[in-house]
Amino acid sequence: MRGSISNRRLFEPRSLRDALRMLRDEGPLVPMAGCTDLYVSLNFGTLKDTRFLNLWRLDALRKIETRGAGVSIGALATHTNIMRSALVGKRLPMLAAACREIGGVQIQNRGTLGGNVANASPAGDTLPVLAAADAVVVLASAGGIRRVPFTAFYTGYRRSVMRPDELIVAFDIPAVHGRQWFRKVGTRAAQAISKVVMAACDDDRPRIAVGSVGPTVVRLPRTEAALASGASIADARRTLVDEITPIDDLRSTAEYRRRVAANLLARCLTEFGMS
Amino acid sequence: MQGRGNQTPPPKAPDKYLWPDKPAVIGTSVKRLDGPDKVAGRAKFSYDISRPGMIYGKILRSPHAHARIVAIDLSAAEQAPGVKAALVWKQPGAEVMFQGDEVAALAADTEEHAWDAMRLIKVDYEALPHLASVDQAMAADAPAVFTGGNTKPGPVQESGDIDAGFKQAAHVVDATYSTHVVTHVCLETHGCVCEWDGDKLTAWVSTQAAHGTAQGFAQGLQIPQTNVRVITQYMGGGFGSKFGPDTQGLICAKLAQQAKVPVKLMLDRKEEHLATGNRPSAIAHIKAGVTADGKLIAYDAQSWGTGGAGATSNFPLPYIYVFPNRRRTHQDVYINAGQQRAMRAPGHPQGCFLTEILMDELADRVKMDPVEFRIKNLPDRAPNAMWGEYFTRGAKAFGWDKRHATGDSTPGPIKTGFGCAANQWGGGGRGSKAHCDINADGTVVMKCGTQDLGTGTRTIVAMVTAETLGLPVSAVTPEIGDTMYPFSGGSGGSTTAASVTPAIRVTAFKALDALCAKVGPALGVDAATLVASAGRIHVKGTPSKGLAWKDACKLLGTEPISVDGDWMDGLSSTGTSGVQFTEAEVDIETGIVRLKRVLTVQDCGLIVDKLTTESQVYGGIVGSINFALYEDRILDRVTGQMVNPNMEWYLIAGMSDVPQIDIILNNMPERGVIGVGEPPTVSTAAAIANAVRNATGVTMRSLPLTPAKVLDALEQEKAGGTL
Repeated sequence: MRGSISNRRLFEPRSLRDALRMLRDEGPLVPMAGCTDLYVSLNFGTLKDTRFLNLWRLDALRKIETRGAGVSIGALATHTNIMRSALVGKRLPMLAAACREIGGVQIQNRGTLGGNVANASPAGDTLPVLAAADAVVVLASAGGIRRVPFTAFYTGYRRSVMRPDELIVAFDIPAVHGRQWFRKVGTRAAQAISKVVMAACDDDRPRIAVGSVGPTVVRLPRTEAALASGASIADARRTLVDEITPIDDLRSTAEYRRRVAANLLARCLTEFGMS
Repeated sequence: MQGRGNQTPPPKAPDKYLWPDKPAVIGTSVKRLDGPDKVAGRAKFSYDISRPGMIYGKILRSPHAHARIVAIDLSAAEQAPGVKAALVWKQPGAEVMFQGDEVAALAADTEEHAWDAMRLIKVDYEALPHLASVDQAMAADAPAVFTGGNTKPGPVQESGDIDAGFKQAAHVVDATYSTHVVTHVCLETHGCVCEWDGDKLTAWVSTQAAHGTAQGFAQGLQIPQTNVRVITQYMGGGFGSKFGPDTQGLICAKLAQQAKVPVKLMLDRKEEHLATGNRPSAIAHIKAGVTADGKLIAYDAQSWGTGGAGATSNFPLPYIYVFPNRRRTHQDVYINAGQQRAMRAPGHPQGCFLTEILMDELADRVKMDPVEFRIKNLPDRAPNAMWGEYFTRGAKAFGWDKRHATGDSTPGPIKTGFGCAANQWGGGGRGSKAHCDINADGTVVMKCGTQDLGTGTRTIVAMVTAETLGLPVSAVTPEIGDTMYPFSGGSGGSTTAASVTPAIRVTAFKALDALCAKVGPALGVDAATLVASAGRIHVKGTPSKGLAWKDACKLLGTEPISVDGDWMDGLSSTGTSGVQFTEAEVDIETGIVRLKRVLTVQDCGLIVDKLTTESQVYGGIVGSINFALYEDRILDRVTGQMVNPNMEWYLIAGMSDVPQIDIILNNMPERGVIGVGEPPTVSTAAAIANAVRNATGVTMRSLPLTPAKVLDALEQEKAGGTL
């Protein structure tokens, strides 16, 4: 049930430094940017937090730029920013593909990459891309910067290594040399939360990540290792099915997710030219 | 609602009132007159109404599927900031029969204060045994929740000789078919704004029956109906669920009375899903036989379904096809869930699905094309039996000859298939009244107390008036959606157009006759020789001998024309038919069904506005796509609570899910106006399931066609997508 919001407090930093100081001195605060997830919980009456830090105006965190042969994407880059970025289109098309399938135009205009990661839903559409691409999460606090591999970022369902005094400021994504592949499976063509979402690239060896099949987005180390040592598609499917831990929920069943994840893997590997 | 005041046969319309052979306006595509206002946000829906001093009402509803109220304490809520009124709706001792049943209510100066205060209402419930599913309600050891039993058998329908029929059958299909519960999902939720002036109530209500709602307020509040005015200028969908003030309307009126200020009470999405109606489920064991040469011969069905707590669930079965020997039984099953209400073609989508899937199975058994098989088994006589012609015409336009045999054998994960299904509906209507004013400056107002629930009624009121008076549509001001205007019934059963347009036609003619009575003497001719066309009143056959409309109206001087008129017989009829074809793609790796196209051939008598008729058909088809692929009211098996009472997990199609839709309308002016709101939504779901069957070779006998269900069925058939 909804209710009055007059008892909630909003902090409005003018710079990143300002924001990090507020987090240290006024914390705990809930960072907010596009609010596309916060509004859902507000409307469902499940938003318990009362103190918020508004990052939306920190344009410095919206940059998308080259970083060596790779890309650096600011945490506040919106899905629209990313879809329209020629750099992302050239170097990380699977991320543009993921952003294109998130929500509708309004959500794409407001929702940010940092928000998608911070919200930590196992169904987040950009997360398998970041996992498959071996992205690095750049975390900042008043005490300084630390860099965490994306694959080590989540520690459990909706839990991560990020401390309450830290903000995600950027993602550094190294060059991906091979082909890239992304697929989202939802009931509707648009604005559906994923039943299964998969991203993959075949650099020197295949890297595959799946969402909505476990408490967090997952890479598939055993499946990848099997493929690296020459496993057939049929063998890779069997390994994947053992490797993921989907559950039954409102959007789908564990069995459906297992079957579809295996089918997607086969489809991806076929398109990569394997047999 | 329709037919009120029609105890004696209505008068037959004089010949000159009949629809014109060569209409100037009727049958053309006229854009809805209020389209620009809606797009620009100027159109005020009940949701948009804001009155001076207005406050906000909220209803506290039972979280339990079944419980007895032990005690209710409003005292803390009454003291909360901003609260101006509070009431108990169900007294201690009473039972709540479903999650969402109304218990208490309050009104506060802001919505947020109202929500906060709601949390302070204390209700003690004694939980009682509940039934969350049809299976639970029908189990031998089910608790007796409903007085008289959890199930209620209906009459047995039987004709011919079942046993003899099955003896003649060369093939028999014996299977279980089902459709699920869906809710109306009106984009404007139910609700109203109530304002009292002394003992007189004005209510802005989102309703599909303005006059009926005024009557409902009068009865519910025990006040004279003359003291109630209901206004519905614009409303965002009803689909059969908005015929009266409902409980929330009466609560809103009582809160406004108590607070002595206007109260707005619009339901939220969760309340909408729980408590404002739904389409009942339908399940049937069907055994059907066909002769070797493809004639349907025997049919035996046991069906049941649930319309929620104590409500009915019946539907027509078998749908339109003829089994000379048949038996059918049905029983209503009661569960602790919100009650069903009429939902766009009540019963027909269920009956159509349960029949049309079987038809494709039987056609396969005798190795006949599904269209040919259907045509062979249509009824000989029916008032609207156009299906045979439509199947032939539609099949040609659709390219049905390119349909492959059951099971797409092309390589790759995407399988394509064709399906078809037919629909029928009654439509027709009567009983509307109207009032027309023609002023000396040439302006024309046509008033009718009907309402436009999104179908374009306002526009066709103006079109029929313009046609009759020989004017452009823009010269007429249509006034509807207010009980200050003459009576018109509820917009249900696809009756509005057939009820309203004859009354408008008659009233406009009476006004024209009054004008001609002035023009005749001025021209020195017999008024009976005058006609109205192309903006002039002139002698029939001699357009030069006459007056321009404005000059004719100047003759009125200080005395405008002001006439009333009634619906008359002879301008409308009843009975529609239609067929639909779909092309679907099934991804056998994910189970996802996507539609490529839908084609329909549909009649509805005389087409008044071609554009809004097509819009009705589009909307109906999209609704049926939702029914087939997306919507599903899911109740928790343990608690009986709905687990998806929102629009995040209760899905409807987005624009990118809607395929190309081709509409072939069969205009039948000789039948008069009939109505088309419901028939198009009957048959798309069945045609989709048949297309999925044609694509994959797997028969989908149960809706909705979720990806998991489709993949599961494929797995069982070993047709692909295997681990």
